Amino acid sequence: MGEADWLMTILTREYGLVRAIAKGARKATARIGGRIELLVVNDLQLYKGRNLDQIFQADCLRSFRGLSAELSRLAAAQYLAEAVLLEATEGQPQEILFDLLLLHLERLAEATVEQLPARLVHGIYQLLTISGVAPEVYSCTVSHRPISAEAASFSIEGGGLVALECSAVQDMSLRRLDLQQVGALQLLAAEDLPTVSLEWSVLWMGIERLLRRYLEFHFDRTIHSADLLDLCFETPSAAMGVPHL
Amino acid sequence: MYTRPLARLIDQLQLLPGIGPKTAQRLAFHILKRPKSEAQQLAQALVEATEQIGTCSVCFNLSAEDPCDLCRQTNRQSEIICVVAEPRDLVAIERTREYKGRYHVLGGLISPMEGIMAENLRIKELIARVGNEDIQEVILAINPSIEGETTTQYLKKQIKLLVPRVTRIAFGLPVGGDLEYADEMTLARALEGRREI
Ligand SMILES: [Zn+2]
Repeated sequence: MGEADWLMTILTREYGLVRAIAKGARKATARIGGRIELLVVNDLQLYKGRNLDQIFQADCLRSFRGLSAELSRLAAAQYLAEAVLLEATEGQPQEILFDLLLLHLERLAEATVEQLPARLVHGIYQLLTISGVAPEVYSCTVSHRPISAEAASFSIEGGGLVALECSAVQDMSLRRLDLQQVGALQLLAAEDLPTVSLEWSVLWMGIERLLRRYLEFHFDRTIHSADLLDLCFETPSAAMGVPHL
Repeated sequence: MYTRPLARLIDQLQLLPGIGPKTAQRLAFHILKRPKSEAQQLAQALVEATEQIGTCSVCFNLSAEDPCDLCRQTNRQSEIICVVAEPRDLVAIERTREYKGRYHVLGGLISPMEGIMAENLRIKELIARVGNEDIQEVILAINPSIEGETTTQYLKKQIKLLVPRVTRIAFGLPVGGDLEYADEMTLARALEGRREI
């Protein structure tokens, strides 16, 4: 592999994860260089190699330039991409995963900064859903009693909500959620979030912490981008700029 | 096929970037054909370079001395720091002969997807320099890739209160490049970085 070559992991709709090399891509004059970047959608043409495929043409379809405007947006987009990579596999079509990443990257690129936590959390929940490990948010995972408009507990190991009357008797680590947090979790299963809920960034950051631990528990991996996100949304000025519920 | 020391030489050469089996073989035969003293000089240069070159404790550029030449030169502007990802980026900027300030080499870019975070780079040290020295401007000479933008935005957040001016270099078309052949991303950046004439 040459110094100017680039080895990359690509998520494709048709073949899942593909590792391929782009010859000379690091050179400033390489036409291909600007296109085959992180979070850019390309129509790629590959040579099938013995060990590695080689990219010989890239036509940019979508570049999400808006993602670079703020650190919070960059962090949220890479967070989502990290999470998607946990679920992605090689050698088989990944249409649903690919389309999910694209849809939610689009939403992250278009959101206001205050809306980023809502958009990210929704993307993460949808990812958990297609992975078949979405937490149970409509009924108690112990008694199976429906839960609505009430406070409850959340069990990461147990896979979702636990009604308060079951929380006391269970020997598991639980997180207490208030009525609003339970309500927010229940919004996530829909294809889109109600517009008014997009502005609840403090609430969604709380849900993000919960789903991050849930995601990391299920995939047994750390989401590195989350540290960057924390840096963006922990400052008092960011929190104060958010309308109250 | 090869006698053992020759096979070993070819194997070692092949570990270098940009060198495949054919080139490694050609280089190995070339080395054997030349006078023995040349090979000894090459070997000595390799050993000495790896033993003597470390990083400058001020700017983290590769250097045999500490502080490095660039940090010691008194005729350079000490109130401007140009931040680059790698030593080779510093070399590229030095080659222009346009820049007369100091440098800071981060040692990479923030890349969460590769597990590289701010604490793995020389960012703490940059913040300390900007905080302790009389710095008037920090120039970020970092690629506009997602990793580069993440690093740029992160640095902006961390140092903008410590220094009067934080700037970043413009990105655009290569000189001599044809507009028609530029890729969309490069053209978009060139448009973003336009200025009045
Ligand atoms: Zn130095």
